[in-house]
Amino acid sequence: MSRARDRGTTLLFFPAAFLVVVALASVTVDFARLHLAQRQADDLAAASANDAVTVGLDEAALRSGAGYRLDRARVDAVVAAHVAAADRSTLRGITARGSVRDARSVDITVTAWAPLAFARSLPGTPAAVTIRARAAATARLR
Amino acid sequence: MSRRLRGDDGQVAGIESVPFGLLVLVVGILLVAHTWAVVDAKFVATTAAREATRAYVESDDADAAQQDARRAAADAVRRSGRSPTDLDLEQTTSGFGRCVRSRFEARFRIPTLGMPWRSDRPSVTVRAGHQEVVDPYRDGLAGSADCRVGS
Repeated sequence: MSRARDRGTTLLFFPAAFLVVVALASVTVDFARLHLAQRQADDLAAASANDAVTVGLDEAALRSGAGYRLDRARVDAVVAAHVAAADRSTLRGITARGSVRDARSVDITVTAWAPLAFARSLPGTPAAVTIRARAAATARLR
Repeated sequence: MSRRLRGDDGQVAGIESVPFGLLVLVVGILLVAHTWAVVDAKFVATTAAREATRAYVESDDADAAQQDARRAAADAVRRSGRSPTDLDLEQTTSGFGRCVRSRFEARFRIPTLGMPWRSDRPSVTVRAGHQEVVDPYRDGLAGSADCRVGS
Protein backbone atom coordinates (compact mmCIF):
# COMPACT_ATOMS: atom_id res chain seq x y z
CA MET A 1 0.00 0.00 0.00
CA SER A 2 1.37 3.42 -0.86
CA ARG A 3 2.25 5.97 1.80
CA ALA A 4 -0.20 8.46 0.39
CA ARG A 5 -3.07 6.07 1.05
CA ASP A 6 -2.10 5.73 4.77
CA ARG A 7 -2.68 9.39 5.51
CA GLY A 8 -5.23 10.01 8.26
CA THR A 9 -5.22 6.49 9.63
CA THR A 10 -4.06 7.81 13.03
CA LEU A 11 -7.35 9.67 13.27
CA LEU A 12 -9.13 6.35 13.08
CA PHE A 13 -6.72 4.52 15.36
CA PHE A 14 -6.94 7.06 18.17
CA PRO A 15 -10.63 6.62 19.08
CA ALA A 16 -10.32 2.85 18.76
CA ALA A 17 -7.24 2.73 20.99
CA PHE A 18 -8.82 5.11 23.47
CA LEU A 19 -11.94 2.97 23.68
CA VAL A 20 -9.79 -0.07 24.41
CA VAL A 21 -7.92 1.82 27.18
CA VAL A 22 -11.17 3.01 28.78
CA ALA A 23 -12.69 -0.48 28.56
CA LEU A 24 -9.64 -2.06 30.20
CA ALA A 25 -9.55 0.60 32.94
CA SER A 26 -13.25 0.06 33.62
CA VAL A 27 -12.81 -3.69 33.83
CA THR A 28 -9.93 -3.14 36.26
CA VAL A 29 -12.13 -1.00 38.52
CA ASP A 30 -14.92 -3.57 38.38
CA PHE A 31 -12.59 -6.43 39.23
CA ALA A 32 -11.26 -4.43 42.17
CA ARG A 33 -14.84 -3.94 43.37
CA LEU A 34 -15.49 -7.66 43.05
CA HIS A 35 -12.37 -8.33 45.09
CA LEU A 36 -13.64 -5.88 47.71
CA ALA A 37 -17.05 -7.58 47.74
CA GLN A 38 -15.39 -10.97 48.20
CA ARG A 39 -13.35 -9.64 51.11
CA GLN A 40 -16.42 -8.13 52.74
CA ALA A 41 -18.25 -11.45 52.37
CA ASP A 42 -15.25 -13.26 53.88
CA ASP A 43 -15.21 -10.80 56.80
CA LEU A 44 -18.93 -11.26 57.34
CA ALA A 45 -18.66 -15.05 57.32
CA ALA A 46 -15.64 -15.05 59.64
CA ALA A 47 -17.20 -12.63 62.14
CA SER A 48 -20.49 -14.57 62.11
CA ALA A 49 -18.71 -17.88 62.70
CA ASN A 50 -16.54 -16.42 65.44
CA ASP A 51 -19.54 -15.03 67.32
CA ALA A 52 -21.87 -17.96 66.64
CA VAL A 53 -19.49 -20.52 68.12
CA THR A 54 -19.49 -18.77 71.49
CA VAL A 55 -22.80 -16.91 71.73
CA GLY A 56 -24.52 -19.99 70.31
CA LEU A 57 -23.64 -22.08 73.36
CA ASP A 58 -26.56 -23.92 74.89
CA GLU A 59 -26.03 -22.79 78.48
CA ALA A 60 -28.75 -25.01 79.91
CA ALA A 61 -27.07 -28.07 78.42
CA LEU A 62 -23.70 -27.00 79.77
CA ARG A 63 -25.08 -26.45 83.27
CA SER A 64 -26.89 -29.79 83.22
CA GLY A 65 -23.59 -31.53 82.53
CA ALA A 66 -24.08 -32.27 78.83
CA GLY A 67 -20.94 -30.33 77.96
CA TYR A 68 -20.33 -27.66 75.36
CA ARG A 69 -23.12 -27.90 72.84
CA LEU A 70 -24.27 -25.34 70.32
CA ASP A 71 -27.90 -24.35 70.13
CA ARG A 72 -29.06 -24.23 66.52
CA ALA A 73 -31.59 -21.46 67.15
CA ARG A 74 -29.03 -19.26 68.87
CA VAL A 75 -26.52 -19.80 66.07
CA ASP A 76 -29.15 -18.78 63.51
CA ALA A 77 -30.01 -15.67 65.53
CA VAL A 78 -26.37 -14.59 65.72
CA VAL A 79 -25.92 -15.06 61.98
CA ALA A 80 -29.14 -13.16 61.26
CA ALA A 81 -27.96 -10.24 63.42
CA HIS A 82 -24.72 -10.08 61.44
CA VAL A 83 -26.53 -10.12 58.12
CA ALA A 84 -28.88 -7.37 59.30
CA ALA A 85 -25.94 -5.14 60.22
CA ALA A 86 -23.86 -5.89 57.12
CA ASP A 87 -22.59 -3.13 54.86
CA ARG A 88 -24.77 -3.18 51.74
CA SER A 89 -22.95 -0.59 49.64
CA THR A 90 -20.92 -3.26 47.85
CA LEU A 91 -22.77 -6.47 48.65
CA ARG A 92 -26.44 -6.86 47.75
CA GLY A 93 -28.99 -9.53 48.53
CA ILE A 94 -26.99 -10.96 51.38
CA THR A 95 -28.08 -14.31 52.79
CA ALA A 96 -26.19 -16.42 55.29
CA ARG A 97 -26.71 -19.93 56.52
CA GLY A 98 -25.17 -21.35 59.64
CA SER A 99 -24.87 -25.08 60.16
CA VAL A 100 -23.77 -26.74 63.35
CA ARG A 101 -21.16 -29.28 62.25
CA ASP A 102 -20.69 -30.90 65.63
CA ALA A 103 -21.16 -29.88 69.26
CA ARG A 104 -18.46 -27.20 69.08
CA SER A 105 -18.15 -26.24 65.42
CA VAL A 106 -20.13 -24.09 63.03
CA ASP A 107 -19.93 -23.54 59.30
CA ILE A 108 -21.19 -20.25 57.90
CA THR A 109 -21.94 -19.78 54.22
CA VAL A 110 -22.59 -16.27 52.94
CA THR A 111 -24.09 -15.68 49.51
CA ALA A 112 -24.58 -12.26 47.96
CA TRP A 113 -24.22 -10.50 44.65
CA ALA A 114 -22.15 -7.54 43.63
CA PRO A 115 -23.21 -5.27 40.78
CA LEU A 116 -20.74 -4.39 38.05
CA ALA A 117 -20.48 -0.67 37.41
CA PHE A 118 -18.77 -0.48 34.02
CA ALA A 119 -18.13 -3.94 32.66
CA ARG A 120 -21.83 -4.66 32.20
CA SER A 121 -21.87 -2.21 29.30
CA LEU A 122 -19.57 -4.58 27.44
CA PRO A 123 -21.43 -7.18 25.38
CA GLY A 124 -21.76 -10.59 26.98
CA THR A 125 -20.95 -9.41 30.51
CA PRO A 126 -23.49 -9.99 33.32
CA ALA A 127 -24.86 -7.07 35.33
CA ALA A 128 -23.85 -8.66 38.63
CA VAL A 129 -21.65 -11.42 39.95
CA THR A 130 -22.54 -13.89 42.68
CA ILE A 131 -20.23 -13.81 45.69
CA ARG A 132 -19.84 -16.78 48.04
CA ALA A 133 -17.84 -16.97 51.22
CA ARG A 134 -17.47 -19.68 53.80
CA ALA A 135 -16.00 -19.70 57.28
CA ALA A 136 -15.80 -22.25 60.04
CA ALA A 137 -15.11 -21.86 63.74
CA THR A 138 -14.52 -24.34 66.53
CA ALA A 139 -14.72 -23.57 70.24
CA ARG A 140 -11.68 -24.71 72.18
CA LEU A 141 -12.14 -25.01 75.92
CA ARG A 142 -9.22 -23.98 78.09
CA MET B 1 8.95 24.13 0.90
CA SER B 2 8.65 20.41 0.40
CA ARG B 3 5.99 18.90 -1.69
CA ARG B 4 4.22 17.29 1.32
CA LEU B 5 3.36 20.60 2.98
CA ARG B 6 1.81 22.04 -0.11
CA GLY B 7 -1.96 22.26 -0.01
CA ASP B 8 -4.51 22.13 2.87
CA ASP B 9 -6.00 18.73 2.08
CA GLY B 10 -7.48 17.13 5.23
CA GLN B 11 -6.18 19.82 7.55
CA VAL B 12 -9.55 21.00 8.92
CA ALA B 13 -10.67 17.55 9.92
CA GLY B 14 -7.37 16.83 11.65
CA ILE B 15 -7.21 20.07 13.60
CA GLU B 16 -10.71 19.89 15.03
CA SER B 17 -10.38 16.28 16.14
CA VAL B 18 -7.13 16.70 18.09
CA PRO B 19 -8.41 19.00 20.89
CA PHE B 20 -11.64 17.03 21.09
CA GLY B 21 -9.72 13.78 21.38
CA LEU B 22 -7.45 15.23 24.05
CA LEU B 23 -10.43 16.51 26.01
CA VAL B 24 -12.09 13.10 25.95
CA LEU B 25 -8.81 11.45 26.94
CA VAL B 26 -8.19 13.74 29.91
CA VAL B 27 -11.78 13.56 31.19
CA GLY B 28 -11.81 9.78 30.77
CA ILE B 29 -8.56 9.33 32.67
CA LEU B 30 -9.74 11.64 35.47
CA LEU B 31 -13.02 9.74 35.75
CA VAL B 32 -11.31 6.35 35.98
CA ALA B 33 -8.69 7.70 38.44
CA HIS B 34 -11.41 9.13 40.67
CA THR B 35 -13.40 5.90 40.60
CA TRP B 36 -10.25 3.99 41.51
CA ALA B 37 -9.59 6.37 44.43
CA VAL B 38 -13.07 5.65 45.81
CA VAL B 39 -12.63 1.88 45.47
CA ASP B 40 -9.20 2.05 47.09
CA ALA B 41 -10.55 4.13 49.99
CA LYS B 42 -13.34 1.59 50.46
CA PHE B 43 -10.74 -1.16 50.81
CA VAL B 44 -8.92 0.81 53.50
CA ALA B 45 -12.14 1.75 55.32
CA THR B 46 -13.25 -1.90 55.37
CA THR B 47 -9.92 -3.00 56.79
CA ALA B 48 -9.83 -0.19 59.37
CA ALA B 49 -13.35 -0.94 60.63
CA ARG B 50 -12.63 -4.66 60.90
CA GLU B 51 -9.30 -4.19 62.69
CA ALA B 52 -10.79 -1.64 65.10
CA THR B 53 -13.68 -3.95 66.00
CA ARG B 54 -11.43 -6.98 66.48
CA ALA B 55 -9.07 -5.02 68.71
CA TYR B 56 -12.01 -3.66 70.71
CA VAL B 57 -13.66 -7.01 71.44
CA GLU B 58 -10.34 -8.62 72.41
CA SER B 59 -9.30 -5.91 74.87
CA ASP B 60 -9.27 -6.37 78.62
CA ASP B 61 -11.24 -3.31 79.72
CA ALA B 62 -13.30 -0.46 78.32
CA ASP B 63 -10.59 2.24 78.40
CA ALA B 64 -7.98 0.04 76.80
CA ALA B 65 -10.55 -1.15 74.27
CA GLN B 66 -11.10 2.34 72.86
CA GLN B 67 -7.39 2.98 72.58
CA ASP B 68 -6.70 -0.44 71.09
CA ALA B 69 -9.43 0.05 68.50
CA ARG B 70 -8.10 3.44 67.39
CA ARG B 71 -4.53 2.20 67.32
CA ALA B 72 -5.46 -0.87 65.27
CA ALA B 73 -7.43 1.24 62.77
CA ALA B 74 -4.58 3.76 62.46
CA ASP B 75 -2.07 0.95 61.89
CA ALA B 76 -4.27 -0.56 59.20
CA VAL B 77 -4.57 2.80 57.45
CA ARG B 78 -0.84 3.43 57.72
CA ARG B 79 -0.07 0.02 56.23
CA SER B 80 -2.13 0.92 53.18
CA GLY B 81 -0.01 4.02 52.59
CA ARG B 82 -2.57 6.57 53.72
CA SER B 83 -2.49 9.00 56.60
CA PRO B 84 -4.54 8.07 59.71
CA THR B 85 -5.53 11.74 60.02
CA ASP B 86 -7.84 11.24 57.00
CA LEU B 87 -9.71 8.50 58.87
CA ASP B 88 -12.85 9.23 60.83
CA LEU B 89 -13.53 6.27 63.13
CA GLU B 90 -16.78 6.11 65.05
CA GLN B 91 -18.12 3.51 67.43
CA THR B 92 -21.83 3.22 66.71
CA THR B 93 -22.55 1.03 69.74
CA SER B 94 -21.75 1.62 73.38
CA GLY B 95 -20.57 -0.38 76.33
CA PHE B 96 -17.98 -3.03 76.93
CA GLY B 97 -18.47 -6.38 78.57
CA ARG B 98 -19.31 -9.97 77.96
CA CYS B 99 -21.60 -10.48 75.00
CA VAL B 100 -21.76 -6.76 74.18
CA ARG B 101 -22.19 -6.14 70.48
CA SER B 102 -19.64 -3.69 69.16
CA ARG B 103 -19.72 -1.92 65.83
CA PHE B 104 -17.22 0.50 64.32
CA GLU B 105 -17.67 2.64 61.26
CA ALA B 106 -14.70 4.00 59.33
CA ARG B 107 -15.11 6.97 57.00
CA PHE B 108 -12.83 8.58 54.46
CA ARG B 109 -13.42 11.85 52.62
CA ILE B 110 -12.31 11.66 49.00
CA PRO B 111 -12.07 15.04 47.24
CA THR B 112 -13.82 14.98 43.88
CA LEU B 113 -12.67 16.77 40.77
CA GLY B 114 -12.74 20.52 41.34
CA MET B 115 -14.24 22.91 38.82
CA PRO B 116 -12.40 26.16 38.07
CA TRP B 117 -15.52 28.27 38.63
CA ARG B 118 -16.33 26.70 42.01
CA SER B 119 -14.40 27.79 45.06
CA ASP B 120 -15.49 24.84 47.22
CA ARG B 121 -14.11 21.36 46.74
CA PRO B 122 -16.89 18.78 46.74
CA SER B 123 -16.08 15.40 48.22
CA VAL B 124 -17.37 11.87 48.44
CA THR B 125 -17.50 10.13 51.81
CA VAL B 126 -16.59 6.47 51.68
CA ARG B 127 -17.69 4.42 54.68
CA ALA B 128 -17.50 0.85 55.89
CA GLY B 129 -18.65 -0.86 59.07
CA HIS B 130 -17.94 -4.03 60.96
CA GLN B 131 -19.49 -5.58 64.03
CA GLU B 132 -18.57 -8.34 66.44
CA VAL B 133 -19.55 -9.55 69.88
CA VAL B 134 -17.26 -9.64 72.91
CA ASP B 135 -16.71 -13.32 73.66
CA PRO B 136 -19.10 -14.08 76.56
CA TYR B 137 -16.98 -16.85 78.01
CA ARG B 138 -13.47 -15.46 77.66
CA ASP B 139 -11.18 -14.94 80.62
CA GLY B 140 -9.91 -11.58 81.84
CA LEU B 141 -13.31 -9.88 82.04
CA ALA B 142 -15.43 -9.18 85.08
CA GLY B 143 -19.13 -9.98 85.27
CA SER B 144 -21.24 -12.84 84.05
CA ALA B 145 -22.36 -13.66 80.53
CA ASP B 146 -25.96 -12.89 79.72
CA CYS B 147 -26.39 -13.16 75.98
CA ARG B 148 -29.77 -12.24 74.63
CA VAL B 149 -29.46 -13.25 71.01
CA GLY B 150 -31.45 -11.33 68.48
CA SER B 151 -31.63 -8.19 70.60
